[in-house]
Amino acid sequence: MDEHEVVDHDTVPPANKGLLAAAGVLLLIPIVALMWVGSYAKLEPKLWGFPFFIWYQFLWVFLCSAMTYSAYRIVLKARPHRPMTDAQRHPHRPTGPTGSGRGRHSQGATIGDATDADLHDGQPFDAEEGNR
Amino acid sequence: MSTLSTAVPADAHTGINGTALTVLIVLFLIVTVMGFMATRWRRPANMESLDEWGLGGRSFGTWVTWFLLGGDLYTAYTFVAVPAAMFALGSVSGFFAVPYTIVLYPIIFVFMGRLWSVSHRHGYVTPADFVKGRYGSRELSLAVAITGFLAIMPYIALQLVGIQAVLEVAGVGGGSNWLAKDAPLFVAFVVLAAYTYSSGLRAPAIIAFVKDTLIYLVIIVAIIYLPSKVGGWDTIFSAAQDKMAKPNPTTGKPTGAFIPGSQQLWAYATLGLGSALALFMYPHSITASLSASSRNVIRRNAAILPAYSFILGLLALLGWVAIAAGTKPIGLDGKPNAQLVVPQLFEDMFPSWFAGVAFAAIAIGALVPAAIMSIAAANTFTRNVYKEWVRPDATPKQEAQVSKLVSLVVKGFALVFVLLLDKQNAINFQLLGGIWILQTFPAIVFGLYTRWFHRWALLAGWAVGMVYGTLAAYNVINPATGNHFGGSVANIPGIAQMGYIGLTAFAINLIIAAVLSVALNAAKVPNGVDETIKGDYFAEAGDPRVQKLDLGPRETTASP
Repeated sequence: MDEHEVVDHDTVPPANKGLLAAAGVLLLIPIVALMWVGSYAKLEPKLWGFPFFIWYQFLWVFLCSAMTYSAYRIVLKARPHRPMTDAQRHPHRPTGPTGSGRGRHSQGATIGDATDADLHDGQPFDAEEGNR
Repeated sequence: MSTLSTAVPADAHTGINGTALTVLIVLFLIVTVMGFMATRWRRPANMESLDEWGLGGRSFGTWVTWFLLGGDLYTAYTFVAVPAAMFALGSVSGFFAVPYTIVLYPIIFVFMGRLWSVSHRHGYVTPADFVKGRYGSRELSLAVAITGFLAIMPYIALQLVGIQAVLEVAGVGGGSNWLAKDAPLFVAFVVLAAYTYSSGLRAPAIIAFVKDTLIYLVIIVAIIYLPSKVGGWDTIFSAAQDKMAKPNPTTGKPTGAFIPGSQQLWAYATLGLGSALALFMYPHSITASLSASSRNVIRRNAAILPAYSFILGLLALLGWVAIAAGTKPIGLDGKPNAQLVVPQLFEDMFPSWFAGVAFAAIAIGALVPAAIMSIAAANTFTRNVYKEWVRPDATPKQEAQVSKLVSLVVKGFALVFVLLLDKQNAINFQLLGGIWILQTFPAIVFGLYTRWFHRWALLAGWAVGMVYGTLAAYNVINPATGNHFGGSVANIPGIAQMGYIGLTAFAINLIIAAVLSVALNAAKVPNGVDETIKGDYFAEAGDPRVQKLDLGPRETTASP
């Protein structure tokens, strides 16, 4: 990690909006298809003796699973994980959010982490934020 | 699931099925041993915290989570009630479970990862923990906690009803002697309570392997073997169609729906969507989700859990197979009881040893969700009532101790509920529970995305949704019996259509929350302190847990 690179973790990690939208569409399709009950509440065409109403919904189990998995792959690509470990290397970063009140905290520092002490030394927290 | 009341011709055939019972008992003993051994599985250095006892160390990978969530969501009661509804009332009451458990997964894919991430960062154990952290509102958090607790109690009781159904068909649990009648259920529950107490969430996680394997085995065998015995699928579907078209003697209306008619499309869709939105608001669903070891475990599971939905669909069809087979589900009291239809079908059609395996699948199927539900209820009580309102300085160890005790109390209560009260009460409360739990959706899920909704507006929306849903459900009269809580579908105000009461209440809840949020935000009423930051909602397993400096004792488990 670049020593001078400071990430403000009170932001949404960057993402490819187009890919996210594509994933959203994939997730929306099964919901729309199955909520549109009028499109499949019928007997014909039958398949191996099964009414359309029955086999069509079984079919959607597989389609939905495939679409959800595709959405998963797309989302992984669209928004790569942004690790939250850098802050502990920058306990004195000039800006950046911390909670306030009961929820006051800083990013980074696992329990028992060597840098843990930094967080207990009474160092003033950034006062940039109040109630969001 | 739906309330059932049906008339089938009386034809008592009872008696103890020795072989089936022996197989059932042997399999039950095996999972009991596994339940107690579970403490040793991935043994933690210290079991004395809610992260360990209540969330299995937040360590379960993709497949363990798959079995655990599958074992948790597809409960014994579901396995008894869905085919029973298909058998008695047809597709609108029964088969909606299929679209419900399909649309469920795209929905949870969207928000469950965020809930996992923020819970990982802040050590949240329950949804009410998150609400508290996000809105800084003890009241809203308490409302979410109490709703979860109330909704889950009858659900636990209904798992016992599932075990009872199996025992009844196997021929035990009858007679007038109180001890002989209730002893088997009592023993099953003491055993369950004991290993849940000692092993926590690890016990159901291990037993879920057995439960799900048995369920898959039994249903796949049943769906291949049984249709040929009753004349094939054509015979089955035409028998079901005939039965559903036949007028009900009391009401003169058709018995049920073979395929939803044009007046039932809304009911079918809203039951599916409303139930899907509600399911992951239940504390036990969230407990199982938060026990996953990473954000992506949850998202991968959204893609592979539909395998259970497929099985559930096949199981629903067994209700219609039973129609063609002429199954007569008669209780030991000699009265017809549609809930016994699947166990009865298995007993009639399978060799008795395999009927025993099938009974075991259902009975063990009750243990997994009952264990997870009692753990989830106990965690909710401990975190959001005990620690929040009674002893804010409770240590993680004390939290675990309280939770273990509460898990016993909760199960004891469920047992008393089932043994002493008419089980129709449990079914009515379960119906209400589904409506209630959906009212916590705005506070939890919208909160994962935005703080635009005001905490007091969310609380008001919740309260109105709860009251409306309860009254609307009370006012549904069962046409056959004249009782209240006759079903979960009622007229949607403003639309001349029948729809799921829970979803209507949810819409009202939403409108109130939105309108009041506009007003309260405009009036600049303080909206609490948010302890989370935007990045928290995208955290992964390796990201460190947030240090809470001024909260005193805290969870001691480091991030995995």
